[in-house]
Order: sequence, then structure tokens, then C-alpha cells
Amino acid sequence: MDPLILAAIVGIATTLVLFSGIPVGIGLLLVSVGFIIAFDGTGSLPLLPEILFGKLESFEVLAIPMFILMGAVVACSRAGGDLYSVLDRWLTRVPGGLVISNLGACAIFSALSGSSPATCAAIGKMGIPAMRERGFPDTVAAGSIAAGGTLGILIPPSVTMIVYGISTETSIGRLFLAGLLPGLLVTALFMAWSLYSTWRQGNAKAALGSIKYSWKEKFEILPRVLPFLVIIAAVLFALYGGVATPSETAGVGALFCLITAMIVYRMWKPGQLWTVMRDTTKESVMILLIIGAAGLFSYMLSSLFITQSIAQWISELDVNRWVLMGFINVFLLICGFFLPPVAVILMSAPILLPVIINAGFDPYWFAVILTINMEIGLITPPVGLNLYVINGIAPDIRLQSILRGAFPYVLCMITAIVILCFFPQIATWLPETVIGGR
Amino acid sequence: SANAETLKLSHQWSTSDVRHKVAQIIADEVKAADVDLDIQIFPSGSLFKAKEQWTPMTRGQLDMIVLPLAYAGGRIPATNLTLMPALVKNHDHANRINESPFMDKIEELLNEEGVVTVAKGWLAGGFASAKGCIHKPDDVKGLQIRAAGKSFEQMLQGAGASIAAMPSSEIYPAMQTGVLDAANTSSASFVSYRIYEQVKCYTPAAENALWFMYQPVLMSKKTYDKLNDAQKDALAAAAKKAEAYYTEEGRKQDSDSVQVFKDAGVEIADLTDEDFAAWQEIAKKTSYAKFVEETPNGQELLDMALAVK
Amino acid sequence: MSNATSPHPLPIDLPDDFAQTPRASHSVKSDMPPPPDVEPIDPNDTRQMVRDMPPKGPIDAVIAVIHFVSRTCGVLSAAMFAIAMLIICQLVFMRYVLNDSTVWQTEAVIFLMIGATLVGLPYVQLLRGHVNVDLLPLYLKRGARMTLAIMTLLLGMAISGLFGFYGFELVLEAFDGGWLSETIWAVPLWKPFSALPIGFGLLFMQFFADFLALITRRATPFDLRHDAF
Ligand code: NA
Ligand code: NA
Repeated sequence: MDPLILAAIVGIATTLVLFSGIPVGIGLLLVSVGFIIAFDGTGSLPLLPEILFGKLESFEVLAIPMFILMGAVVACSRAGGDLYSVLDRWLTRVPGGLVISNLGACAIFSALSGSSPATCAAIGKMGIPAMRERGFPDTVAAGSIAAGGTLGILIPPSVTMIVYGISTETSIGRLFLAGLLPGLLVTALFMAWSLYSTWRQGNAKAALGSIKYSWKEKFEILPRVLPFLVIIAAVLFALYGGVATPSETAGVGALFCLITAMIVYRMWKPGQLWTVMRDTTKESVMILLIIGAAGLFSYMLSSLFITQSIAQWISELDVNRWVLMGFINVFLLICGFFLPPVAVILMSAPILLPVIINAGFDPYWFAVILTINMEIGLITPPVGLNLYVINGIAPDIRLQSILRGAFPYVLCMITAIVILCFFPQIATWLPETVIGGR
Repeated sequence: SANAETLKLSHQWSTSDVRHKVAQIIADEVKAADVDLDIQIFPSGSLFKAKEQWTPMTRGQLDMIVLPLAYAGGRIPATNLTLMPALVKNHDHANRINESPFMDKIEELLNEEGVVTVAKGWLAGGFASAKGCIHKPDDVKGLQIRAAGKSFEQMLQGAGASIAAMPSSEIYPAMQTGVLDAANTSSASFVSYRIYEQVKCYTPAAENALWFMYQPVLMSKKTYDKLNDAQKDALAAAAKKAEAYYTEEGRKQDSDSVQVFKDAGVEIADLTDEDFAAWQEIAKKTSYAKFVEETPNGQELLDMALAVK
Repeated sequence: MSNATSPHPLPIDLPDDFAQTPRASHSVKSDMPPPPDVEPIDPNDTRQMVRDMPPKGPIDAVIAVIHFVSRTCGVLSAAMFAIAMLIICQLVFMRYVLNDSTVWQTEAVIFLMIGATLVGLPYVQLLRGHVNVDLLPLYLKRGARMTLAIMTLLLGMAISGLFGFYGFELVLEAFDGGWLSETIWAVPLWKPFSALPIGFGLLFMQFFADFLALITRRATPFDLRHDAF
């Protein structure tokens, strides 16, 4: 059979299976096993557990549960609320102080958490009620937090970047660096839109900020977040100074966060620690199963020569590289509407990467583009995790309002993608400066 | 031709690597022989990761691999001898080992596991240090060092070094930050990871080399037995050509690496016969002893290998 | 997007609350949660139910035992992640502070992580933590939804059974062949491999418990409320 026809069949089968409501990891195993039996016979079946095992057997993968653990510690503590309070007290005289401090808090929290919903929940819990209280429209309050939360996977550390690094054999430290400036760019675009929309809706008072805090109030709250800022600084230093590998940094960072939370937030009761470990286990096992299963899925694709044929087909299309990039973006967006970021990256990156490199694009720049696409998926229906998180925090905001509020931020992210296409240096400059050329 | 048998060959390296080119020569030659045999190469671990290849090979689910044979050491302990310090001195010695009873014995063990050797080949490597030249075992005392292979780790530990296990891609950043003082890897990796930017002295693989790794092209016995005589002959002819290229490129990688390090202003250290003997003395007490201890007929195999002059 | 006016907001496990409700379970820290369009049945409520009401019949007993085993797996899995973290810290201390040899740690943490993942499978299934796309189930009518739920559970059982069975074979093969990992540490490979049959075997059991609960109407298809959508 022509591998491309086979590819189409695999695509349809995968879509059907995943839409059945079966867990994504199990669904990927099912599709892989099905096609292996159909085209390779049952002789390969005894190999599958060892292949699955092998897909997880890497020190790099370990960074994922460790960063998740680190994020879980911080998310289970009051650090998110404290971070929000600190920024609020310090930025209150800045125009639109509250929405700015919320997005700022999201950006900073992102630097500790590899995951978006954690960022969203931690900051939104205090940020949304405060914004509504001070007269920000529901759309801005909900939309800005939903969007701000997506920064969790763009601003390093980022679970999706680790997964990209593993599946494309690119340097994770370099990927993290590549995400930093685009993360700030997206943050700035978010802030700009928030201010504009608040101003346009005629709420100048909210936009300008009204409550004054004394210097005493400003300083007395600082110690609350200082330890975590120190850990962020230490983690960033270790990662970018090349002192240790991401996995080592994450493991030590997780322990430091845990100790800090136990001291500063008195999180030493077994029940509290179990909450942290339970959340870590739940998210890590889920992601690692998808990683193993997607690994088996790509083994199936490669074994049936589908990966190679698609890559060859795309490279022979002979279209302008920017048209190609446009199509790839649409493809990723559609995948991101439905599927979790990790699954999209694992299934598409091995196929897309050779095409991207062949067309003369930088693989680190592309990782950023890919991640922003995945961020969009987090705030778009039908499967937009951050929307549900907001709906849970602020149940009286109608989902339509959240959706309407989040939509402009989707446009901000698309703008960021366009800007990055014109100025790829935003992604490539920092890694080249810090680590050097490749 | 249209109804040709297609064999899957898997390996872990990029398409610019010498080991890919060796595989490519075999594939091209076999195709040119027009014996209804196609070899499809899956490079860069795109089918199986390096260490996942062995089981499918032995079961005939994968037809061919290019593999550092020591990767099978956990399953066939005897293959640990193919990555053993101070066992192979240089490329000429490696070629003599290829034709020795020792290698016949290894082949026998492989056959028992369902694997046959298609083409033999060794690649060498050396040591590089940011602290000073590594001539004798004493030179590594107290150094934080990365070694390629567990028997090298054992030997270096025996010489008083601290071992930091990491992939060769991590050597550069680890040396940059001072975590690592010295490293042992292949000549090609030293160049491709630009280690010459970080070190003071390079001990290359020359007349007396410590690090040689056997990385043959292997085939599943199940697949091999299914081939007809014409196909087997074509394969053997292709392998002969590939082997010649392999050994020539292996030597070239060593000499090229020396040139690159020299150009970068790095001091070059050569091992004398006494240095080599000193290392072998340490190896005997550490890695050789450990090998004998954990391998059935270990002493006999080791003696066979050491007997090749 | 059907829960715009849902009377049941997603319960979110947030910092300030957890002291009072240590069992609140819906953490939303995952990048891919169960799309909570409709209030899923809280596994902790189920657990609570099992605990509060003594087993009524053999089926309840079977389900309770399987759930207990799955929760035990959760604790084991969490412990392995925690130990892995501690070993990484030990590695960093040995390598960067003491400048000492680190030969076994890397392999130990990798095997611990794989073990934690595989052994954690049944627990995360119990928590409904394995993300799925349940758009189709939402749009289906009750009967069709039930059929689809039964099918996905049976397929889940088939897959976990398959990996459990061949995983067990792999363990035997590694044991008989005396396979060792290729490091100085030389771990007998049957040990880490045994996480495969244990994890997938118990995942099979958890799917089986879900299946039992479903066909005896103790649970709803995909844990969706009957009037969902
Ligand atoms: Na982050
Ligand atoms: Na979406």
C-alpha cells in the first residue's frame, strides 16, 4: 500500500479512536497495536512492552515529573496569591495596575511552573475576584487570567519544551532560553490588549488604579514571596549557566521548593504533603504514559514508513517556505483545538522537524511557534483547559464571557507568531548569546 | 526490482556518520548486484532506539543493525570484551583481532543468540583533559572524568578518578562549567562536540590506544538463513567493500581529530609502551577482573583476546 | 461547550482550601484534564461511599478491593517519584559538591521514574486522571453512550491485558537470560521490567472494576450525568 494512503488511514483511525472518549495514552497504544498487527503480524507484539519501556528510559524525561513536582508544591501553597498581592501593592499606580499585575504574576509564576492550568488557577483564584471588585469587565478579568495562564508552557521551564527536546533530540536548555523572550513578548501583547480594552470600555478609573498602599504595606509583604523568587533565580542560574542538566536542576529545585513551602507556608502536615505528591503523581503518570504511548505510535509510523513518506511528500511539494509554515501552523492549531499539547508535539514533531530544517527554519524558533500554537489550544473550545479552570474559579462568569474575553488574546498570540516570523531573532538571539552558535 | 525482498536496517547515528555510510555502501552494493534484495536504512534511531534494537534482531523482527556490540553486554557478557581498555592497541591490531580465534568465538556466541556478523569494524577514541596531559594512570587521580563504557569507568575509578556518567553531548557544557575535568570518548565525538575548545591536552588514539570499540554490521540469523546463495554472496561482497571503507575512515577520524586539536592549540600527548602497560596493569586489576568474575568462561575468553599479538 | 450554565462548578483544589478539604480531588494542574464539561463523579465521593457504607454484595466487595489496590499503587508511585527526587539531589551533591563518583544514580532514578509511571497507571485511572476527549460521548444519546463506554473499557482491558501479558513474558525472559543493565551498577533487568506486568495488570483490574461498576449501573458511562448535554 502507498504509505501516504496508509498515512491517511492511520490519521482517520487515530481521530476516531481518540474521539471515543478512551484515555489518550491507551488510545495511542490501541492504534499502534492495531496497525502493527495488521501490517507486521502478531510476531512483533512481544516486543511492544520493551519498546514502551525504552521510550521512557531517558534521564531527560525525568525533568518532567520533577518540574511538575516543583509546580505542584508552589501551586498547593499560598505563593500564587502572595505573588499577586505583592505585584498589586507595587504596581497599583501604574495605569491598569491590576490587570498588569495579574499578567505579571502569571508570567512570574510561569517561571516556576511548567504547566499552564497551574499558573491559571494559582493567580486567578485571587486575581479574578479582585479585578471584578474594582470594576474591570468580566471579559477582561476572566480572559486575561485564562490567557496569562498559557504563559506557563512558553516561559521556561516548560513541560512541552522538554517533550519537544526529547522527541527531536534538541537541547532542552537551549529550548528554554528560546522561549524566554517570546514569552515576554506575548506577556507584553497581553498587557497592551488588556489596557486597551479596559480603556475602550470607558472604565478609566479601573484602568488607572485607585487604591494606594503605604511603603510599609509594600515592604511588609515582600518576605512572603522572597524565598520563591530566590528559587526561581537559582533555577534560572543553574539552567542557563549550564551548571546542571534540566533534570538535575528540576530535582534540586523541587526539593528546595518543598523545604521552603514547609518552612514559609508551614506545609508539613502529611495531608498537605500528600496533596502535593498526589497531584504530582496524577499529572506525571498521565503525561509519561502519553510519552511512552506516543513513542510506540511513532515507532509504528516509522516502521510502516509513514513518517519518512510524509516528510518526503511535504519536502517535494515545492511550495514557498512561508506557505508551508502557514499550513503547518493551521495543522497545529487544529490539533491543539482537540488534543493535549504533549500528544500533539510527540506525534507531529518527528515528522515536522526534518521538513522544518529542510525548509531552512531554525528548530528552536519552531519550538516556540509550536508552543504558542499549543497555548492557543488551551483557551479555545472545544477542549480548552484554561477555560474550564476559570469556569471553576469564577462559576458566576458566564462561559460565553470567558470565551469572548479570551478570544482577543488568541489574536495576540497569532500576532506574536507573525512577529516571530518577521523577527526570528526574538527566539534565537538569547540562546545564541548565552550558549553560543551550534 | 519490484518484488525484491526488503530488509530493515536500523542504527542510531545521523546520515553523515561513518557508520551510516558503511551501511549505505552495503545497501548500494547489494542493490547493484541485482539479487532481489533491498536494504532500507532507518538512521538516527528513527525505528528503534540504540539499546532497543537487540531483542527484535534476535527474533527476526528487525533484519540488520549497526551496533556497538558492547551494548549487548547485559545479555551476552562476553561482548563486554569488545569495549575493554588496553585490549586493542591500534587499527592494525584490530584487523588482526577480526581474523582471530577470539572473534570466531564471539561469532559463535552471537550465532547462538540468533545473530550473524555481516561486516566488522572498530572505531577508536582517546582522552582529553582540562587539567593536564593524561599519560599514566596517576594523571587521572582526583579528576572528575566521563568515560565511554563501564569497563573504562571501572579502570579509571581504579586509577583514582571520580566518574560522572553522562552522554557525550553533555561533555562540552560540563567542562565549560568545570563540573568535568576530563573525558573519554571517540575521536569523532571529540571533534563534533568541539571538545578542543575546552581542554588543554588531548591523548588521541595512535600507536598505543586505550579505547577501541567494536561496532559491526549485524544481521538477524532468521533473515540470513532465508537468503538464497546469490543474495548471500552479494552481501559478502558488499561487506568486504564496506569493511575496507570502515577501517580506512576509522584511521582517518583519529588523524583528523589530532589535526583539529593541534589547530586549536591543544597539546597532544602520545602513550608510550610503558604508559600502555601501566594502564593495562590497572585494567587487569579492575575491569578485566570484574569481567572474569561475571562472565562464564571469562578467563578463557580474555586469554584468547590477549593472545592476539 | 455545554456547561455554560452548569449548576455544578468544577471543584478546584486550591491552596487555601486544602486544609479544610484535604480530600478535594480535582486538581487542575494538568495540561490535559478530563474535559470537565459536565460534572464528573468525584472519585473521592465514590471512595467515601465505599468507606462509609460496608460492601453490600460481592460486586461491591470486588470493586472495593480493586480500588484499594489501585490506591496502594498510587502511594507506591508517589513514593517512587519522591525517592527519585531525593536521589537526584544526592547525585548533585556527590558530583558538584563532593566531586565524587556518581555511577548508579542516573540509572536508579530512570528506573524509579518508569516504575512510578507504570505502577501509578491504575491509581490515575481510578482518579480519572488519564486525559480523554469526550466530545463524542457528550453528543451521544444514553444508549449509544453506554455502548461506547463499554467498548472503550473493553478495549482498555484488551490493551492493558496485552501489555501486561507480554510484559510478564519479558520479565521471564530477562530473568532466565540473566540480562543486566549495561552500567557498572549492572541491575538485573527483570526487576525494572516487572513494573510492566504489575502496572498494566493492575490497570486491567481497575478497568475491570470500572466495567463492573458501569454494567451494574453503579457508575454512569464516562461518569457523565444522565442529563448531560
Ligand atoms: Na513555565
Ligand atoms: Na482547545
